[in-house]
Amino acid sequence: MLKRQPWVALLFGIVTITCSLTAPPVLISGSAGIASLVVWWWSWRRACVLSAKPPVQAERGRAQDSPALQAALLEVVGQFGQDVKDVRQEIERTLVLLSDAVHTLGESFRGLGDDSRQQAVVIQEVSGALSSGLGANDENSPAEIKAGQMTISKLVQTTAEVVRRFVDMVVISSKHNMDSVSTIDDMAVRMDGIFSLLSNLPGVVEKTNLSALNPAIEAARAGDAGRGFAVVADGVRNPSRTSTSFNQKIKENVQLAREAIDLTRDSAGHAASQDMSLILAGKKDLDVMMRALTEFEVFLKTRIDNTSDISGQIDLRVADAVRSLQFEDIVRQITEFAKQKLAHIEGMTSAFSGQLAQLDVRDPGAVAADLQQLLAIYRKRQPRNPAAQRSMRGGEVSLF
Amino acid sequence: MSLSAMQSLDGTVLTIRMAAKFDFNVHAQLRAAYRGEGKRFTGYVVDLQDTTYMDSSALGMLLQIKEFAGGSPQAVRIRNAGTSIKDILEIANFQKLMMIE
Repeated sequence: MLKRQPWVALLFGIVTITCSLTAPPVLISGSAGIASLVVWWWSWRRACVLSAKPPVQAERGRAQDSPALQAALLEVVGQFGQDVKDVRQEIERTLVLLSDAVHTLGESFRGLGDDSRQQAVVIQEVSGALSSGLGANDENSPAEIKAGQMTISKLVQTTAEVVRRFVDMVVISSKHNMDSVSTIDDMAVRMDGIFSLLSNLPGVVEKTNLSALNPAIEAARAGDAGRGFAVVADGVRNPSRTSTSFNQKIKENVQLAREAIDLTRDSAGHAASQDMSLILAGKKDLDVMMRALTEFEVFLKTRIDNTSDISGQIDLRVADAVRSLQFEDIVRQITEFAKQKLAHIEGMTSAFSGQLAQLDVRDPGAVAADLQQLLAIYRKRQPRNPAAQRSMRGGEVSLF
Repeated sequence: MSLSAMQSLDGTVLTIRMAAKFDFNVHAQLRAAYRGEGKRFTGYVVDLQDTTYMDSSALGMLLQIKEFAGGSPQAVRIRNAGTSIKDILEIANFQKLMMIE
């Protein structure tokens, strides 16, 4: 009722004054209007005083609660700030770990690349030695090595040539020995001829002996007159006896020569007789080994080529890996941004805590204005995200 | 079993059939066979059907026959050689020195 009364008085006053201006008696109705406005003003003032009383009681209540509220808010904001600080420190530690790990990875990959390139050089050397011979590219090597003779295929070729020459030699030697055997056989035939001729000699001697015997008998019969003739007859018989012993000696020597010839024949025959099956078996073994060696050479060459290809692949993959390590830069930018943002939040909570500490609850308008101002500064100083690249695929620029 | 020699009907080729063992011991017999009575044939055939063993002296003797025949690779033919005998002839490169059938 009290609340409505001033507005009725104000309405009444305005209507009365308006009526006094349009209809007589002006004075009466004008006075009544002014009286009504005075009633409204008084009522409003009273109402103002009445309505001002309860806020005083509420202010008192908030003033009583504010230290607890303030402490609670400070604690919440403080806890919040501490957590943000913890997270920011974790991020800083992560950044250090990331940086160390990426550095180590970068070094490892660089080392891997270097090792791979060195390995490729070694493989190249082995490949060169295989195709052009060991030491063929060395200035200090002897001429025949520089000419590329120390290859596996050359070894196989030379070995085959040596075996062929050896077999040729065996065959030619056998041929010559068999020629000797043939000549010895011819010689033996001649010897046998001599032997049979010599066997006729005793008969001739016997006849000579008998021929000389008769003149000797006749000379004895003639007595002294035949003595000179007896000497002649004796002269014929003596050489005959000598030739018998001479013949015997020749026979013995020819027999010895025949035995020597037979021995020589056997020796030449044995020299000619090499067991070809042994040579054949040896040659077959050697052929198998040489074929295996040739295959091994081909195998080595292919595998070395494969290894060269693998080295090239390793280089490509190392380059990929090194390029991918650029992620650290982007991750660092993103994380730095997060860190800055957290630092910003930390600053904000710190500023808010400051505001809370000196919070004047009796003037909420000022508090709100301060908070608005704080928020505006917070928004204005917000850090910007610099990381735009999201993929590692593009770009070849190395940061390492 | 010893070796045997046989002339062809027209008398131009002499075929010598060797024994099981073709080595130094057959030399005199073989030499007598291909030299005969001093007659030279236009071709000589060495039949190795029965031969199971041959050493380097046999190779020497084959070369002697070739030499006696005039040295041409076509003058001497080797016939009916078994695998192991053929291996020996091949290792000695005889396919280039005479005809191996």
